[in-house]
Amino acid sequence: MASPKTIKLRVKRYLPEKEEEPFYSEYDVPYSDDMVVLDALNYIKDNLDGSLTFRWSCRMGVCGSCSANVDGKPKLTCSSFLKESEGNSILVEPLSNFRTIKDLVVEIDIFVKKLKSVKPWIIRKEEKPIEDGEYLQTPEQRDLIKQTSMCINCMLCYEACPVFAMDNDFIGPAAAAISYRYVMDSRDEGAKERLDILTSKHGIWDCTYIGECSTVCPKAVDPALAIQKSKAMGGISILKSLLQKKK
Amino acid sequence: MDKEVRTYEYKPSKTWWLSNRRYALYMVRELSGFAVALYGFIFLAQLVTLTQGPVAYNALLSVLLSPTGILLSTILLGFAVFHSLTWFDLTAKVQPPSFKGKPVPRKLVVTGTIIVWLFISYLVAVFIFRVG
Repeated sequence: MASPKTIKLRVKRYLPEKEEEPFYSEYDVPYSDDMVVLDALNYIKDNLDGSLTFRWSCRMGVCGSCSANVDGKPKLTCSSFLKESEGNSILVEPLSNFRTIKDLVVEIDIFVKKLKSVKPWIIRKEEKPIEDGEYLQTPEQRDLIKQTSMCINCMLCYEACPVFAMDNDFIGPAAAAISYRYVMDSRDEGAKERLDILTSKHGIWDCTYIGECSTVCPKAVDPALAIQKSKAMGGISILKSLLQKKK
Repeated sequence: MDKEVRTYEYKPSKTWWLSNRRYALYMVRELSGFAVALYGFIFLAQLVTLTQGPVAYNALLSVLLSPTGILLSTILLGFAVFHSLTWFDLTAKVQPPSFKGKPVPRKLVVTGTIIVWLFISYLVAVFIFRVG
């Protein structure tokens, strides 16, 4: 019987209790064509090096936990097939625009704060009583928010964004896209609140439209487009406020 | 009590923008903004010298028509064309138009705007050379 194919995984490690600086570890992993990078990481953890640390959960591109740089590109490790690698080795590194806690695990508080700041929930000026039923929506109204609703908060767009890399205060692609999703939601009445946040300092005006956020999104969300549309809406909102003040 | 967590912060290298074609093109596009501004400044200078009379205007014109002047204009024109083309490309992406509820293909929008741009440039050129 032929021996299984093997691939070399070069993983960037950071063990703050042992080393001051990150370093690389190499592992030879037997693989088959249906294996993804996350499978290889789990193989290493189970068989070669139990100290290797990484986040994962669903294994099917839904939870957004397993983000990393695979061969220098921001990807979900659960959706990156080993057979797609060029040569016979794969480089796996943590997201570099976030502080590393250990190995591939990064500190995500900064993103969660941004997400919370845009109020990712339906805002109503006045809630109707439960007995009056749900807030209904037509399929056409639903289509307007379908694409941005697909965001899984994987933070790959933040990794791809040079503006965020230079300035961590920038609201960033995902938070802006999710804000756009609620602003466009026919059931929502909080557009003004959100646009005020998006158009404030470190908001959407900092986006210089490089578009790499949309390229790396594993769920085909287009945050770059959502930001540009938010800029148009934000501009109109600011203009309206100024005109109302004059009256 | 929680122990303070020690974390590691990666610093982007000075050549980060060379790591990806899209980043590199973005940097060139930003840089081309300076060239477009300089191009505009030269036209402005021509207008100013025009108000100062034929001597001043012809002096500037001789500088612009020197080999260095022509080389500079060619380089600036290259940047201006690049800036315009990437701008049309972005414009089509920001506001994808729709026809009868269906999105119009982006390539069609980009090609359409470029054709309109070339046509207007042609009209301007015809006007200038006729007047000239």
